[in-house]
Amino acid sequence: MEILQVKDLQVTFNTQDGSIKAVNRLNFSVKAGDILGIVGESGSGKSQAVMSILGLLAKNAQTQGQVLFKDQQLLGLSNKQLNQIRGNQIAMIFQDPMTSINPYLRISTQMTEVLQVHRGMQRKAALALAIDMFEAVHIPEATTRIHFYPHQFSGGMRQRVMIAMALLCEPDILIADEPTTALDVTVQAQIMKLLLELKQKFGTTIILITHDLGVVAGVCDHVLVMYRGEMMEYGDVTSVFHYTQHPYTQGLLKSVPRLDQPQQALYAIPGQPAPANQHFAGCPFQERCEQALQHCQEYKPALRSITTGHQTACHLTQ
Amino acid sequence: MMTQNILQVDNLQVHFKNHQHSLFAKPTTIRAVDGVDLAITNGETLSIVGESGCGKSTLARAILGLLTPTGGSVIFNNKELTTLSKKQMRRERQHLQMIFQDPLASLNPRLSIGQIVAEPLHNFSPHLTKQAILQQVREILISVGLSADQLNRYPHELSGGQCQRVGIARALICHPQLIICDEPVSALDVSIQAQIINLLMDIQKKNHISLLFIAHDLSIVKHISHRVMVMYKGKVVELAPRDQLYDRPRHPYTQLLLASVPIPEPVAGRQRLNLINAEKIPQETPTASGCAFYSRCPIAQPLCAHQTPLLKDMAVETKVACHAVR
Repeated sequence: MEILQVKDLQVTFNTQDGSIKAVNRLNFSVKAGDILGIVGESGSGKSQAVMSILGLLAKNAQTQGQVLFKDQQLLGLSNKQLNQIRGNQIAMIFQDPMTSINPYLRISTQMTEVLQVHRGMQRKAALALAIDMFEAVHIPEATTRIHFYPHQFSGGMRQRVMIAMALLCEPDILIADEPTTALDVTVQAQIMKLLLELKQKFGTTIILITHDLGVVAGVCDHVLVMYRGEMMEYGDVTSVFHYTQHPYTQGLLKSVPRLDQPQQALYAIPGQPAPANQHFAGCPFQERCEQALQHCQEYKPALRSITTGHQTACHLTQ
Repeated sequence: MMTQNILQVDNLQVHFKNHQHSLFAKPTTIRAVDGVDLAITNGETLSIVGESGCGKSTLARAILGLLTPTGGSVIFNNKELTTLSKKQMRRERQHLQMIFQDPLASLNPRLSIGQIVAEPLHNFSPHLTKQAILQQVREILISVGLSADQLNRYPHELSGGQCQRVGIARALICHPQLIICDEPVSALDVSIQAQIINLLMDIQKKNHISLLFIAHDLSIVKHISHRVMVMYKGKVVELAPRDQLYDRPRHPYTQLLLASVPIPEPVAGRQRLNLINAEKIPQETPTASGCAFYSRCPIAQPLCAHQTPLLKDMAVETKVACHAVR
């Protein structure tokens, strides 16, 4: 069953330099219990796409299209209506845990507050549940550590606190925006394992935004590759990694130095993404694409299916 | 054959005083760098890896004299750097450059690219004419993959990758013998990362520069280094030639680090993740004596709790600090 459907999503920012299309004609859906990875370079619109789901965009943003969560349109809801969903049915964790936790309040206060607001629970019962959740994310000495202040935790532990807090109301969807980017590799591996465990234990649907293809390969079921606000490729993780269709995805995969392969010259995608306020008629990647054809400049490739569930937007795959 | 060591660091220590919450408590000492030895030969890349807080950046700063070391010596080009005056140190720095992690923050926003790159020349070669400086700046910008007409641009007009190229150009313009790169690509996107790594490797081959490369990404380190040094809590735990270290990591910490690197391949990536044990959460209590890795070590022995393992030769050019590794 599809728990979230995004149809023709467009996010436009009105700025002094003209209007900037951060997300353009984005279509995807997430099955319940799935982990979807969204990959792309900085500025590819991956964060803006999911921020729009929860209505967290900046004030100068305009959205078009549909975001259907359990068949309910989320775009255009008032803040009050969204607050019923935020943290309760769809929860979000961010890259830097320190900036999204209040440094002045004990973790216990912040965690019980969520339950008191959304579930109307008594403080005592809420605290017991919070401690359970601390144990679920493997924070040792949960009963004492729950009363710590944020600065008393290390980076990896803070990310666990964030995840515990996001999971309190047993949300249907957990959106994780670069949850491991600021962490050490060893801690990253632990958090990746934790995400897989959540999926198994609670059946949580997870949308994971990352730029690290290794993280995607390790935990995701499906992957969506974005470039300059548009979807380049989407599909089952094995399909996308083993039968890579789009030149951009191919380039990304080749430019990652690999531990498991013998040393060879590192491939680099030439050039850099064009500024966001520059508009193209053709494929957004054509400027940097080494296989670009004449008509790649002229019109946009449509999204087409390669095999069931594996889609790509490229003229070369026709 | 004797190879010339361009840089030799002996028993370098950097300690910080940490004031406790209570006004009257005695400050504790944090040993950020605790007796590190290293040597870099001409044209070599030595990488330092380790988790955040292991002291790798502090070590780099101490070598450059940006921090005053608590003890030990830094010998660069047969000169002892730790006893130099500020003025003398300044003269030495033209041979000893640094590339920083944050490409934008390390460039002065009020100077144009041309001014930023020319600044070292104004400092160290004041006899040069304006024309000669401009000529050199143009050449160096082209050699790092920027165009000469970007001279009059300002840092905020450039992308992260381009800013890092400017940082590299600024480091190169005085023809240094050693460049210390502190996480030079970790703030960049994958596709740009590859460009900058290739550039650094090209430059090194062409100009025969030594690199001290600090990173936490082990796959990049594998790509760029000749030798790799692994640090944990201020100490060197393993030092080995690259292929040795990656084919046969000896220290349990090195093994843990390597096992944790995600691989962009779904089948192998998942298998690796499954193999990682739910790690013992490190105890925050520092053990005064004993191995710093003791609380996380899967093969710890009773001896490890009381006695710090020394760095011992294991094979040619390979040193490991562990009681359990023989």
